[in-house]
Amino acid sequence: MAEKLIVPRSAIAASRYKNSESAFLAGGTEINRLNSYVDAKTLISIGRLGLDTINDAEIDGKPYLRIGATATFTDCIENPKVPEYFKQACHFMSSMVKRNMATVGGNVAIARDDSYLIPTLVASGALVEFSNEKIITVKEYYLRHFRHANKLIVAIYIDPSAKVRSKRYSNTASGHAYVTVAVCEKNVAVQIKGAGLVDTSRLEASSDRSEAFCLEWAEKVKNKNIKSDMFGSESYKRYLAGVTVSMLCKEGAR
Amino acid sequence: MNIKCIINSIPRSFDVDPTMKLRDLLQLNGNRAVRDSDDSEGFCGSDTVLVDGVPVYSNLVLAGEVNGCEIRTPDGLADPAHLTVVQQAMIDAGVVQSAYNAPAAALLLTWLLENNSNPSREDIKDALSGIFIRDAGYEHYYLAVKLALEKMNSGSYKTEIAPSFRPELEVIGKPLSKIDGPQLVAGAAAFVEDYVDKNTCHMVVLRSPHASAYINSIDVSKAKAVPGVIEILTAYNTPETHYMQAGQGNPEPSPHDRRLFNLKVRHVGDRVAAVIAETEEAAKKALDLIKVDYQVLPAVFTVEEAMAPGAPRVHDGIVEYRSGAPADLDEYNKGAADPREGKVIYQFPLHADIRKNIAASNKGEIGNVDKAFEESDAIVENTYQTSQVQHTPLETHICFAKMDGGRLVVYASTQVPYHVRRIVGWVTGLPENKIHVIKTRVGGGYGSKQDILIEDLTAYAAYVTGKPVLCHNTREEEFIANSTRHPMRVHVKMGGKKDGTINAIFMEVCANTGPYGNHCLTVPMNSCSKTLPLFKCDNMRYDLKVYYTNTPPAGAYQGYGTPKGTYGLMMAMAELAGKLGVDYKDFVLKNHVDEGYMLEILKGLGEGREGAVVPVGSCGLDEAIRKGCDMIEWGKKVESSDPDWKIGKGFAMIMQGSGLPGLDHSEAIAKLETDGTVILNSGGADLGTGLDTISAKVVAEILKLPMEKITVVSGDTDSCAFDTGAYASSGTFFSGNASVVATQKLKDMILKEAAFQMNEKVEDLEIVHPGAVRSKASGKVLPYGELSHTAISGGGHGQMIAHGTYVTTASSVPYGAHFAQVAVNVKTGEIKVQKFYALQDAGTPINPEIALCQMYGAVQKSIGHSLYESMILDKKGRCLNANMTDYGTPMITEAPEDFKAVLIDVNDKFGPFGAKSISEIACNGAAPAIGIAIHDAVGVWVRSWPMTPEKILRAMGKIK
Ligand SMILES: Cc1cc2nc3c(=O)[nH]c(=O)nc-3n(C[C@H](O)[C@H](O)[C@H](O)COP(=O)(O)OP(=O)(O)OC[C@H]3O[C@@H](n4cnc5c(N)ncnc54)[C@H](O)[C@@H]3O)c2cc1C
Ligand code: FES
Repeated sequence: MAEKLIVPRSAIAASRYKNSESAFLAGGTEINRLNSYVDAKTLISIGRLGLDTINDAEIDGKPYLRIGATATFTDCIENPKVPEYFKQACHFMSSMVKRNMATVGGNVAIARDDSYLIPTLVASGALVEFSNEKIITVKEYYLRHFRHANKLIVAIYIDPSAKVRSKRYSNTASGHAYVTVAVCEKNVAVQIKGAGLVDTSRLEASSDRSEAFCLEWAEKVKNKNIKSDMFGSESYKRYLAGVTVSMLCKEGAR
Repeated sequence: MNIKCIINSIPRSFDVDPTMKLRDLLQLNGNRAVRDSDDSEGFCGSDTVLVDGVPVYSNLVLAGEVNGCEIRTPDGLADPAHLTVVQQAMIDAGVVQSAYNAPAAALLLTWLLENNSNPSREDIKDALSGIFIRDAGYEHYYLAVKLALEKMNSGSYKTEIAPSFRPELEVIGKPLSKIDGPQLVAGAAAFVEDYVDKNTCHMVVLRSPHASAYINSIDVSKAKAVPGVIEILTAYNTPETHYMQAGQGNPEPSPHDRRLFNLKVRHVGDRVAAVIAETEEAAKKALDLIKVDYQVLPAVFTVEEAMAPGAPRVHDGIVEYRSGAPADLDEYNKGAADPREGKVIYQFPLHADIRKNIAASNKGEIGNVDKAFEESDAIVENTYQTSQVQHTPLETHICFAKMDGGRLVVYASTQVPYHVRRIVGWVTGLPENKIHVIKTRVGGGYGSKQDILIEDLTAYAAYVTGKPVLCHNTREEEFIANSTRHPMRVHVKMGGKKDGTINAIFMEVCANTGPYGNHCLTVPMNSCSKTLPLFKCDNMRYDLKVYYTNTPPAGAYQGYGTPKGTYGLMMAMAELAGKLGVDYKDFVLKNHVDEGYMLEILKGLGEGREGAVVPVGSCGLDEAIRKGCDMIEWGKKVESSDPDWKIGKGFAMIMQGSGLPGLDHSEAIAKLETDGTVILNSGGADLGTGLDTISAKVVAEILKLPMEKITVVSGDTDSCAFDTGAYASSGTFFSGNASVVATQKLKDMILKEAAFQMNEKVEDLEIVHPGAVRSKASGKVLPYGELSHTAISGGGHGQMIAHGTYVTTASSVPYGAHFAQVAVNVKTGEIKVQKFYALQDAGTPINPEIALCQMYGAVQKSIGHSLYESMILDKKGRCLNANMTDYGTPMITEAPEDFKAVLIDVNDKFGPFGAKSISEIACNGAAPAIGIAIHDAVGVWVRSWPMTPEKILRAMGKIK
């Protein structure tokens, strides 16, 4: 339970307050919920720092859409500049009320193994920007987010013209995802509950997207955290991952 | 921190800790309708408010973040006397039932219509996507929006809310507003939590971490030293009285197999100790300081484990019988183990054997089943498994108890106020005249509030401490320490002839009652007694056994055992039709019972007693099947444009009961007040299902009085007379009939008194609108107000008060058929319920709009247990998904795309104005209808709940 709330005036000030005892408070849907993953004595409110703008940007000559970290899922859904594929990922959070609160930055930062946005962001090659202006890929951030634990994310950059297809499997729409798959041309992101993003390099190295090949990849992909649990058996999750990659790629080709 | 904000248009200023949750701040401000039903999980949406015009969950917002903001809360929309158009439309559409979340839903719909003057179905769905509705389902929320828009745009409703029945009657069978709707939708005081006194002590319960263990010792010394702790209760300082928590008629067909605290814990979550303290914080702190020394024992979790030779015994103490003890009981008791096992006391024999973990059993047969199977042309034999599911009422179990003038007053959210009083009397030793149970509005029960799960302990705590005590279950406690649907293994063998008749049925039911035997006989009995009588079959046998295990407890759940029996029997019937090569529709039509068919099978299927063989009464089954088949276009194959999606159809016939003939009992008292208005004191317990409205309509109809001149007081054990309670679908039939009897008697008194005062003959008098007596002979009219005033002011015979009692041996059975069309993805196993049509014969639906919503709500719950819901235990018996998100309750996103509830018009001979029960039966059809549809789509039978994509893929051979 938090004991202190700081309301800083700027992103720089917010970053200064951050240490291992504190956490940034964005939408609060993770921090303030029952059994939250986040346990911090001090919360640094970042909701009123003006970090919620959505606008066009360019990095190394490539056009991007820059989504401010505190833009909510609803902000993204309602903004005409935001591509459909990303809106679809925002809709993976089924509760409209929660979408009004949850921020894109918060979702990336928490880097859950059932994340709504991470697979889509990773497959589309999205980037994350910190308050020190450093930019890395979302994938890099996800895989090593503990290293960036004290950094304030100020924006996410997405490719507005990426052709991403994604699919999320959960018991009910409001349940946690046990498999989420996103594909974008050669890029494939597969997230499995318990394991997080799994290694798709073998898939990405091949152009074969036949069901047989994808199922074989899924069956063999090495990850000791793909386990049978209350969400389903290991074989089910592996099967679903494989068949969905093939399915989404086929749909994309159509 | 000083926080300034505007709450419901009023500027406010608070000096509070900024890390306080916004909901707590709003509660401090008196906004009671900003509720919480999941301990800040962020799932149910009871805490929804608008911050600067945006809907948010106030439990997930910190107070410090709303400085300078404008906040709107559900109770800020309007007061009950001046409802908004949206609130009124919700009541009129019938969605305001138990209504714990109705105020929040009203706020969301208000917000929607303020921002979108013409919302689509998708827009409404999205607006309600973050609010959990368990009572009325979501379908009539779309109607509520439509009605509200019509009223806003043209001043009146254009759309028919629900069909009307019985044109000759004024209010019965007509959609009229529910009488407690304004109080509920506006978020006025209604629930137990709204009546808790200031300075009330909190009680929290220490729960067992082990599935089975003896308690060697409990050290409470450190806990007692925590400032503010009043008392700590354990097995060492509470009575040894054995009782049970099932709210059933006395003597109960359930064993008395527990004390307030036992010295053997029998499931993870079992009670070990309770701390009563001045604050919740102190109570929780003390709880952490209690040291318990356990002797951990092996445990059993499934019926298979429980029945295995040498299995650990869940109860292994002394057995006693209050009647019918077997001759060898002394010998039997020589096998008793440690004294900490306690006792199991049977009120009468339930054919149990605790040394084999059998809590109860029963078997019976009509005809010659073995011979008939030999003569069958085809036989199917399969086992169907149902899972452990929880009611998840929005309002978790709550009880507030206090001593007042030497009496124990218990505020309870209960379906059974009189059973609560009796059991509280047992555990405290107080006589009933010293106990006053007040049933408040109930924020969802569905059977779980038929059991006395926290009232026993809370009342006892208030009694021994003399302090006001509040106990409120957490959501986790609802799962692990409350009650659930009995998981069952239903084995069905069914034989048929080439001519399309069923000639033999055998049903073996093995039920898991968990650690205690609440409803252990009657729930499994219902799997047979509310299913087998659907079949015109001369050879039927059932054999049921109920096992104790160390899972979280089981108990009553809407539908009782029927959904499970129906699942097994109807799935087997569909499979048999295929085997015989006959169309399933024709097969069902040929084999279902009709009015007048003698139900021999009932003779062994009483509630622990001999059952009565009766003929089928009013029966809309055939019409429901035929109409439903037309609606869903039975026999017409539907193809999807996507080859991965296959579409299938299925249906199931269903039945239930309307209370327990010969067992249930209801009373009502109708009083003509001095101004000619009427107060009806009904023993019945309205759970939000509109029972009080039924009683009011009964009075209005019989006495020709406007509804606003009638008040119903119900569920208060001081002011009302006895009623067995709202369970077994008895409310409308029994409590409603008691209201009819009382009102008829009052009418007779009114006529007699009027004859005296008017100097006329009773035969010449009639009751006329609006509440008057008229002489057909002289044309004179005497309004009730005048009549009553004269009666109590020296010129008459005193106040007219009539008492009605209803008991019966008549059985009025509701019937129906539920239809599903599903799409199944052959690659992923995903299932979509595209269409669901529920057709039911409820006799005369007294409140048709509420009846429809009861059906939508019950079906939605059963879609839940069919496809998503299941409590998952680990090897140690710990529930892994004791929260809303992981457990899998369906929300609006899971509701069928095309969802229709249809009332089949049948007038019953015995029900009040021809009414039968409506809601429990609606839990019975979804599982078999969907299971049969899945088979029709992809050719596999999924024979266990929940029917998940993984099971479909496995059955299809896609995964190993
Ligand atoms: C019932 C329920 C179910 C949920 N299910 C899921 C789910 O299935 N998948 C899922 O992904 N999430 C889930 N969540 C969690 C949550 O809603 C989302 O992850 C959301 O996107 C978090 O965003 P937020 O703004 O609310 O984050 P917050 O709660 O404000 O913060 C979350 C974490 O991110 C950090 N953070 C926030 N913003 C930044 C930033 N700009 N820079 C650096 N760190 C930052 C915070 O310090 C904190 O550690 C669920 C929540 C609830 C209530
Ligand atoms: S957090 Fe919304 S109801 Fe509990």
